[in-house]
Amino acid sequence: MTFPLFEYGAFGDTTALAVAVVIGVAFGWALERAGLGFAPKLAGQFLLTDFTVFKVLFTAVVTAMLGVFWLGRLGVLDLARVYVPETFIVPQLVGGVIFGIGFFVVGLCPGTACVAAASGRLDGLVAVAGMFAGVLLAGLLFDGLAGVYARTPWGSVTLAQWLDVPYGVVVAAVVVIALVGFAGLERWERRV
Amino acid sequence: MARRPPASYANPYVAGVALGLVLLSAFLVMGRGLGASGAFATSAAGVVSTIAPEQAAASGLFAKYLDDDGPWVDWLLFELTGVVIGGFLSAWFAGRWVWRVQGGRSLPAARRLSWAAGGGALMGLGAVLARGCTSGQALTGGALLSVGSWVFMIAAFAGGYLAMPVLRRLWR
Amino acid sequence: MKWPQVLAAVALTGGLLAPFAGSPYRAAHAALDVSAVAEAVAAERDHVTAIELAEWIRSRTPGLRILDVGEGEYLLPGAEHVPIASLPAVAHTLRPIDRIVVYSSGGAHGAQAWVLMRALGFTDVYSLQGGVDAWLSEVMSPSISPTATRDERQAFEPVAELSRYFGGQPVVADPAPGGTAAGRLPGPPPTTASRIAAIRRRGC
Repeated sequence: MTFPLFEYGAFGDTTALAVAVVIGVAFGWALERAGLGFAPKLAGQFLLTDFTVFKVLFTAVVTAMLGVFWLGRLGVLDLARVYVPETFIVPQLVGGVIFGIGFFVVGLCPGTACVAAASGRLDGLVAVAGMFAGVLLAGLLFDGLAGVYARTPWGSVTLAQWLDVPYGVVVAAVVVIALVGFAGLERWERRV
Repeated sequence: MARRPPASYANPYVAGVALGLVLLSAFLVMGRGLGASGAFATSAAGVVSTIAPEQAAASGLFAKYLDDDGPWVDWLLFELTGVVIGGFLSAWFAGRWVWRVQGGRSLPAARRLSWAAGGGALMGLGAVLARGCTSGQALTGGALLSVGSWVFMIAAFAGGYLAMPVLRRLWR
Repeated sequence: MKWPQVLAAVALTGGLLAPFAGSPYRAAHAALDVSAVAEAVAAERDHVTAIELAEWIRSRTPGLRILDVGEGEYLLPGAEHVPIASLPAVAHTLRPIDRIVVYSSGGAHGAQAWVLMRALGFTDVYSLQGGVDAWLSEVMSPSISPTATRDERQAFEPVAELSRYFGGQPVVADPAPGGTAAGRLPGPPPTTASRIAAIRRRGC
């Protein structure tokens, strides 16, 4: 049996949509359990009072990254068939900063805003509406964005390919950086 | 509305591993990762195409979502529906479901809602430019070592830290 | 605080071993099920004849992908040129549920490409027996002997029709000595006049 199952014809498009819901339920559950549906907690990351966002995000990235690397190496996962989001340096840099500003102001991102709304938080619901409005406007005024939007398309490229180093080297570097970050935060939090 | 004393949140590292395993299972089962903002884009495309089809087709952003089976048959849209369900179930069973406005303690509710709307719009714009948000880019692209995703991740954190000294009163 | 330490230790181990493990991509470490492959070759499930391939193309078999892994001088209908050296890199753009046919001018590289594709995990893959040469002599200009029986002529009709579908031209001629024109591209298709002249020469 080779993974990804969908790429190897294990099931069709309709089942894929059912799979989407199931995965989404697990995703939403995990986010809420971590407290990421609670806006003040996420804002705390930038207020330097609560580093849950950093800990959860980078633990998740390291977990999935190690899983992908080792299952790929063992031949269980056909890594070439996993879609790597494409790189557009300038729009992702500019969009990232704009997103980050909004992220601090709201204390929620698109996914966690849905979790907050689902937890009864009216501000989460309003945030979702605001995000929808933002995307809607961006779409209607898209020609105005075209100057930034289409710049520097690099295609699907990994840090390993870009730096021309073995994939495993980047994996090791990310793990070390994450663990050093976690250790540093733990010490910082204890000094209070 | 909360039924029992709210349970405490999970250990962030344990929660992170759980989240990472959910992401990994998406890679293994579907060959793709998670996301959220894409569902917003496809919904917006769907709404516009219902009200003003020529506008939708003319938009470089919306047009992409109007082919294949249309904007409403979209993997991310179904996934985000699941997120709502999962978030609700977790909050409910943890005793954390409560109808309220959750903002800075000294920020009046109306202000909180205005800022949430405006900040949300900013995030919508940012996510369109970046082709994703924290779920699709930072989390998914980060785990797959995509260069642009790491750029987005660093830029988003930078944006938040730049905004903090200016707007920290929102959270007092 | 026990769990986080355990997780950190696992992560550190997994991370620090990674640089020594090689590439996580399949193409770099493809493994071959030797028994299954040997069995497929013995049972002749590894190749397809030119006529069979022509039928697949004409009936628009879903997911059919035809790859020229040789020089690419003569592309079969719908074929793409993928030099054998770049096959591992291109393979991940092919879906595992596709039906893939690989070929070269004679058939040797095609057969080797078949083994590579099996190693890369494709199961519905075949090499074209006889390569381009077989395509040209069996599909583009299939021949029927002037001394063929009525039954043989009837059996030949669908082959002739298939040939005409692809713009080929059936010929009335004895096959060249030693079987099909392996390793030699045939000359221009015979004209009506020359065919009739050949029949006159040989008698009815």
